[in-house]
Amino acid sequence: MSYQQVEILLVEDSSADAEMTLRTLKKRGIANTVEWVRNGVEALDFLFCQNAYAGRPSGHPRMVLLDLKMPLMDGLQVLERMKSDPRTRTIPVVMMTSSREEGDLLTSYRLGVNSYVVKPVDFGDFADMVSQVGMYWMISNQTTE
Amino acid sequence: MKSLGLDENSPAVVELDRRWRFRWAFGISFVLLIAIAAYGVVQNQRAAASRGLLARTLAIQGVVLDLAHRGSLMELHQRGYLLTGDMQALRMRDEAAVTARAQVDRLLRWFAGQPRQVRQVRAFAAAFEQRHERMQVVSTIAAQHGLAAARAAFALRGQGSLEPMLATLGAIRAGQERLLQAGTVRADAEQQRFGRVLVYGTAFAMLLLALAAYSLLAQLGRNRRLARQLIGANQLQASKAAELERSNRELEAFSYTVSHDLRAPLRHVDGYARMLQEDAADQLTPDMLRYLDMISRSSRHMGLLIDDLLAFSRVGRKPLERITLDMGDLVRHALHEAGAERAQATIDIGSLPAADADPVLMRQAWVNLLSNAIKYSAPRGADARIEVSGERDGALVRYRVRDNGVGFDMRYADKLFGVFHRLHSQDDFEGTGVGLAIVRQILERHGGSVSADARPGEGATFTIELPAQHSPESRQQGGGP
Repeated sequence: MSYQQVEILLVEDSSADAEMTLRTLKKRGIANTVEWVRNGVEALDFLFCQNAYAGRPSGHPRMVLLDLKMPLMDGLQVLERMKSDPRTRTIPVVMMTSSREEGDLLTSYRLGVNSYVVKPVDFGDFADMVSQVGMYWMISNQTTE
Repeated sequence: MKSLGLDENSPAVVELDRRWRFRWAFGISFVLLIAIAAYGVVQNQRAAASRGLLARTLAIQGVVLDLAHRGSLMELHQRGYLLTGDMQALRMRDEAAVTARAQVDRLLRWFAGQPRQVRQVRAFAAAFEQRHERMQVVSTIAAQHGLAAARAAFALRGQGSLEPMLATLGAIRAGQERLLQAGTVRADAEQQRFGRVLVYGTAFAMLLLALAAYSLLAQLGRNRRLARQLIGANQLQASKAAELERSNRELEAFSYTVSHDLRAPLRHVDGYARMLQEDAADQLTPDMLRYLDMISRSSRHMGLLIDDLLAFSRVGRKPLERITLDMGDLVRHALHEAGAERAQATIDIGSLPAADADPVLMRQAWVNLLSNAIKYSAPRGADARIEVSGERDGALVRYRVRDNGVGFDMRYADKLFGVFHRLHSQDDFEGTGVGLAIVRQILERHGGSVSADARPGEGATFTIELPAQHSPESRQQGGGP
């Protein structure tokens, strides 16, 4: 089979953050197949196999890394759509954000986010954070599947 | 906070004066009306006495007239007897005498205590008795010597003796009339005086009442105006509060943006420098590696600056929640957070009085003060000493953090509490220069203060003061940055 099951969906509008995240995930051997989309609309297209992703093989990622602040549709809206749809409700969602403000944190948890992490400025800390989150949700955590 | 819209030129004294003027007007008119009523009662009693006097005088006049009448009747019957010899006339003459005596007794009773009148009545009685005696003498002559002899004797001795008797009666009557007239004049004068008092007094009392009512209505008007002003001031305050709320929201949106948008590029700067370092370490010279390290360090430092600035802004925005804090407990927790376990310093915590303060903010203030003390005393190694003490001073509580670290020159003490102000170079001591600004803001929001005392090379003492108990007046201190 030429298509490999996507393990992680990375929703991130900053290519720099995306590159740093992808590099860390790959270097530390947490995930081999990571799909990177640049905004919330593309994320939903991918998850529900529609528009640009209409022809992709079915199957859900094992986790979604979701940036909070994005153009077109932000992370909170994506989270709300995912958690209100039975097809995507069980996919673990980790919100990754630069914000330390409390409002987003509360809203995210109310919407049913599985984890909420603040991206550190220090790259070493950032890499540790990404790998810890990946390790936990990809390896330690027991899913329904 | 300054009160808005209230008339500052109306001190309480004027208000008090107005209130007393109003009370006095009511009080005086009340007393005046009572006095007029009392005067009326007295006047009524006097008028009754005056009427009593009039009645008595009239009765006396009647009796006096009756006496004159009896005297005349005696004369009439005496003469009748002398003309006809009818014994019946003699009997009627003596009856008149008896009646007259009874009347004299009445007069004497009425005039008891009035010597002049008594004298006059007695003079009349004497004259009357003398007259009657003569009549009896004449009637005895008639019985013994016949009527003709009696007539002769009567004619000879009886004439002219009636006049003094009547004159005395006239004097009594005149006296009574004078008395009556004087009494009437006096009663009339009193009546007139009472009338004047009634008219003027009542008019004055009504005037005072009108003034009081006017002043009351004026006060009501003032109150209504004041109420309108207060409502206006409240609306103004509400609009200011809304403005403040809006600017607070803007500030929040601003710091949100800062935290997101400034941190992301810094993360990228650090990230790419580190990735380059990881991937190309074997191709780079030690200098190149040092440059990369400087890039990383600078971006991390700027990240700290942003974090501290956000913390400073959060301290200003967070609503105060005051509870009674066990300061000793709070300081021990703060020491842990400030990294006391990793420090070599000997830390001594004295007994610290409790205070009403926001636990989150006060803990932040302690962490900043203690980490400063740890940081600046670190060069002394194992000799470093930090003392935390506290005392209660009236309504205030005062705490001190003393260290024996590098200290500073007091000439620059005013820069100590400003945002991003530092007295030491970044190379000597790491830091952003926000910690003490946060401490000052926290203390000021509690209605307290922070001050420092230090000497270069001999350590520093930071003193914080705050009200021990929360009172509403100490609210609203400080605010946003």
